[in-house]
Amino acid sequence: MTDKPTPILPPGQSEERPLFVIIVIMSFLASVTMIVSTMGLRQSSAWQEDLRSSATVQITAADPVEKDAQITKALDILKTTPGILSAEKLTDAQNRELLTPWIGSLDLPDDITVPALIRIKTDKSRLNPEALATGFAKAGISAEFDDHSRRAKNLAGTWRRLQFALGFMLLLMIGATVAISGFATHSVLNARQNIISVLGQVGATDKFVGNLFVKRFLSLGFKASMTGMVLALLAAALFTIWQNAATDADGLKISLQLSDILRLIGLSVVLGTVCAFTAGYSARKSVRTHRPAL
Amino acid sequence: MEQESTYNPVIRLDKVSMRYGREAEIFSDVNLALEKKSFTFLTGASGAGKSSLLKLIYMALSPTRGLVSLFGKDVTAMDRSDRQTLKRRIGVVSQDFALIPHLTVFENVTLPLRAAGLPVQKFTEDAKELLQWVGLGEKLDILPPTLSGGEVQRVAIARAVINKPDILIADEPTGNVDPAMGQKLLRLFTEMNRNGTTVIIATHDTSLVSGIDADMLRIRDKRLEKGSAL
Repeated sequence: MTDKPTPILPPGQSEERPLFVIIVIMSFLASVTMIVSTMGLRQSSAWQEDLRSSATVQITAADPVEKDAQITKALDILKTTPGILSAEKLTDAQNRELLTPWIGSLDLPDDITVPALIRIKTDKSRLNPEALATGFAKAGISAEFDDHSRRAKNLAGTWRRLQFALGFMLLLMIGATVAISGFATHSVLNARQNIISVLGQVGATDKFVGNLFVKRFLSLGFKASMTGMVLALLAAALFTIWQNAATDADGLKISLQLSDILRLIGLSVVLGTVCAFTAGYSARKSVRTHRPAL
Repeated sequence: MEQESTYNPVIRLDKVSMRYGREAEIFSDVNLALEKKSFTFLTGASGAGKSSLLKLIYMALSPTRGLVSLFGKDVTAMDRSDRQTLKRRIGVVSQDFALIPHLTVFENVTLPLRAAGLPVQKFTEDAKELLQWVGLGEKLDILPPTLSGGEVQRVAIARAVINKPDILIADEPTGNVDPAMGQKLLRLFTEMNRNGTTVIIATHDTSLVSGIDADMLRIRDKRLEKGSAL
């Protein structure tokens, strides 16, 4: 006689195997969704921060001599303006490079004037764009100041919508886990009708039967969701290595952090718990239907 | 929970009728009142409805019409969880014995304790003693599929009495055991009855009935009538 009692519901039934596989897949997809969401959020935040902390001044004077003079004056004003951390005129080559995505390697016709650009790093909390514009106007400089706020706002909006879509996908996956757990519970209940009937005969309550399923499916749910998470982590690690090796220094570099892994473990716990409690709830409900006299 | 109005009668059926689905009634307008500590044999032809009547009493079935009361409470109007709790006071030996095949003999016998959330370890000695008494003391760790029909029946009986129920219901409890074991099991039932358990047994076994001071009930023509030895 052993101290540890045999589980009343025998483990490892064939009805549970499809549930295990599906929860592994759901957990894998949910983890990948969360990884994409987390990496995207991090990248988007970095881009938004870059945009927020930088601005551009365009000197639009057409005459080259006048343009150079205005650039010099503008740089002098910027050096003394509060909230400007640095200001740097882009070289002709850098200017040309900015146009490459639109006109390729073609030379521009002589009569098209390309504005000179000054790239500045800013401390937005101290910068007063109106005072800067007034300073430029007083000095007779034809300049346009762009603090990148429109692009930062667009990027943030796009990212918010994408995050909403990813969150919705995550909810769908949890919903699918609920549905398949309920379905598997019914299969196990049908296959174990003899046990459920005996339990009824010896005075087991619906709650007792439900708890048997919670215990049984909690362990299965955790094992399956952890397996899916580990597979997703491996896939993400391989993708990270591939992406970082395939791009140059200016390319998009991605990384997995400890907080990402902790978040994924949390997600697995949620999926395992959802699986277990859905099973318990389905079992109680189903037992009530199958044993109405009790 | 409703207060128990009285323990007498402990089992009461008022104008109870029973049918399965759309089939004809198995019995109609049955009245029954069994007092506490009573010992009753239920007889009748095969298919007369003995098992169905017992199932009504241990709440595995609901009546089509009429009232079933246990311990003075109307179980047909009772909350589901209260009925399940009440069931723990009833020991049942069904005709199919209903053991769980992957649990050992010991675990099957102590299943009512587990279902009631009681610590099985506290009752280990009681369970061993009981299994010893029914001749299965050496088979505590055996799985039911390897037992003989008679042994399975004795495990089912041990399970029904392990928590000293207030009512013991047995459907053909000695059908698969030899006459000596049958008499021994009957002694167990009468001993329990002397200690306060209300016992109701459905049987065909004439040898079981003779020599016992018990009430006799018989189902005939869909009615329950007071009977005598078969």
